[in-house]
Amino acid sequence: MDHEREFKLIREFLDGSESAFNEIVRNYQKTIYWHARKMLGNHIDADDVTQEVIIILYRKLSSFKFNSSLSTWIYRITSNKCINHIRSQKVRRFFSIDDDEANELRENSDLINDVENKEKLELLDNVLQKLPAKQREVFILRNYKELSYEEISEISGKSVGGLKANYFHALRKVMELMENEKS
Amino acid sequence: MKNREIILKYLSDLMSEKERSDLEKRLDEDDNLKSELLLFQNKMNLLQIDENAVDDRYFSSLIPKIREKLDEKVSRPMYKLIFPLSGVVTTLLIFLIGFNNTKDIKEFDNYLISEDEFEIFSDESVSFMIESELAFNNSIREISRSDGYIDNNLINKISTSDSEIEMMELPVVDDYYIYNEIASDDLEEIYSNINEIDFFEGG
Repeated sequence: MDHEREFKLIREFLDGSESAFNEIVRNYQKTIYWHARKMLGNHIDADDVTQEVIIILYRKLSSFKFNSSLSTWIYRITSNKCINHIRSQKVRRFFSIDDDEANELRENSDLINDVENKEKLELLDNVLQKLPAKQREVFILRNYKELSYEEISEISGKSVGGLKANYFHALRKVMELMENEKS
Repeated sequence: MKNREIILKYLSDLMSEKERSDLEKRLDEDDNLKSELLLFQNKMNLLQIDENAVDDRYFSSLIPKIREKLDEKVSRPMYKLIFPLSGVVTTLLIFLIGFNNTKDIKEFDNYLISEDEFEIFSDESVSFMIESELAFNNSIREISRSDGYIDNNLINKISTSDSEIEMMELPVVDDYYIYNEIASDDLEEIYSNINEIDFFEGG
């Protein structure tokens, strides 16, 4: 969807059109979900973050400044939510708040039905979850969304040089992990 | 530099324009480097998943779920207000009760008396009791005198211990009470004494 169409939908929503908001959600729900899914490594947490992000969109679209693209704005919100989620998970794990049942549910719930994609997703989770959150973020945005460093910089607020270094380390680690997985 | 590091730098866009063009030239000539880059890309492909091969029911149910949550959140502000408000009220109550308690304790402290004061008070109480008893005895004497029927000696015979016991529930002192309190032997003596008195002495 081009920017003009997106901006038109936002204005319509701000004027009270709920169907305009539904269209925005329909356009971005998969993007949000998959970004969260790759960042968090399971469907349950990705679902939580996806819903949170859409609710934020509903409440904060009025503060959207029409000088950046909606996708950049949505990625920024999703990334921040994911990183906050990872931090809170670390705290929960440290204090052993998460029980085994919840962890089992996380491992067993998923959207993908076909075997091949399921295996790929499992491999992807194993590899990505071993990367530090910041490296994971830049790896996902560059490798899967094919965003430029400038766009990623706008989303993450990091310098382009820092992002390149992060991506370099992320790539190296992914290669090592893939070799280990193979062996 | 190892081929792997060169490829990583190339893919991370960490090369200058010159380094990049040199590497691209090398890739045309160096089969090892080329195969290593291909291997690298193959590995990356293993991590590519088809994002559309998913259960679409999840995405079609997402908007209704969000709408539900949004409605919940709209109706929530009341709850949001109730909990902090009740917290504030409880804190205030605890503070006020606590404050009043300390005030009461301070006031109660003012009412407490020292040991010396207690001794004085107990002495006064005992002397008050003694005085009361004496007053009671005197009143009986006064009555007997005014009636002229009862001899002082007889009055003294009334057991003080009995009067002590009945001090707390002292009935109205009248003739009937006095007669009841006097033992029958004493009464006989009173009557005999009365009989012996010459009421018309000198008359």
